[in-house]
Amino acid sequence: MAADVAKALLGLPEEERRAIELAYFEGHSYVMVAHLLNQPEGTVKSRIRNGMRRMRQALGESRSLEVER
Amino acid sequence: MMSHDEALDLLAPLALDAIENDERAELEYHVDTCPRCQRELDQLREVTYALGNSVEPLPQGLWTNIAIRLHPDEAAPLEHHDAIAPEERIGLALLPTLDHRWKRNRIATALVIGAMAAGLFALSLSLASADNRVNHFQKALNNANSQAVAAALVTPGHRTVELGNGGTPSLAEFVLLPNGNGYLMKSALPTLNASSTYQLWGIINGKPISLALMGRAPRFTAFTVVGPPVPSAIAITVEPAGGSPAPTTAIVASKTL
Repeated sequence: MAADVAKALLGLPEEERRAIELAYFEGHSYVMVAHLLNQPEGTVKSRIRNGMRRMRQALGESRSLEVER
Repeated sequence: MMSHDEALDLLAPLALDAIENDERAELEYHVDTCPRCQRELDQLREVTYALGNSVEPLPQGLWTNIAIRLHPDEAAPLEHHDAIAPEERIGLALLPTLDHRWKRNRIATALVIGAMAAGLFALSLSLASADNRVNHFQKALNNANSQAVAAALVTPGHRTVELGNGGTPSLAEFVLLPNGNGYLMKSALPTLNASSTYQLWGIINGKPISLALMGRAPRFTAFTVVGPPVPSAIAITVEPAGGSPAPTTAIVASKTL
């Protein structure tokens, strides 16, 4: 499962992955992420949301493939 | 009153526990009363759970290989991590130090790339019940620290030291090993506000050298002193969150070694 998560995370566009990494792994609020990346807060919120949706879709596909095997 | 669209925008940061404190109450109130947002938040939290379960210790040797690939110019200091036991490495790798931000970033990147090498190591999902990343990291750190402390206490030559002040003789207790590693065993330090952290210093040749950031509610701290010279004393101060290159406040606890 961890490999699937890593694959899903690495498969994200750079901007989305970086925003999620800063928020999740480094514990920053989205406001601080926006500051660190020098981007508008709204942009960061969208990137986190889009990235997480993409990851969920990717993880769902991974699980589907496992079930089919 | 927060609008639905405003709340919707904040659900992903909320799922990652990355919202501002002053937004939380209003946002959670909206979510409690909005089935659509609840569904969206539940879906986003599935990703958070998955991220939480991806944090695993790295196998022996992999850390160095990853570090060399990521930071060829900085690989040498990281090689130290391969020279110590894996359970100690977990504690050291995740310990909050003065340069914790870049180190944590490196850890996160390394973990991800390490996980991509899926054939190299098996993964434990024992923390599947953790409901957010804070719980997950704290449990991982707690376990790692407990294992490191337990191993340290049976290591020949170890010593325990209690740091205190005039009024309270024991505010924090560490176990120190002959190889320079040290671990927090227990702490009675009061919790600080979010803008502050405890910082551990080693007094070396009369000068304070930062050993580790202990966080605002210390429960796990690991550090390594590469000597000689070795510290003549260790001390704890309260510093701004993120740490300070030198003490800015009075010592709250100390011990001459």
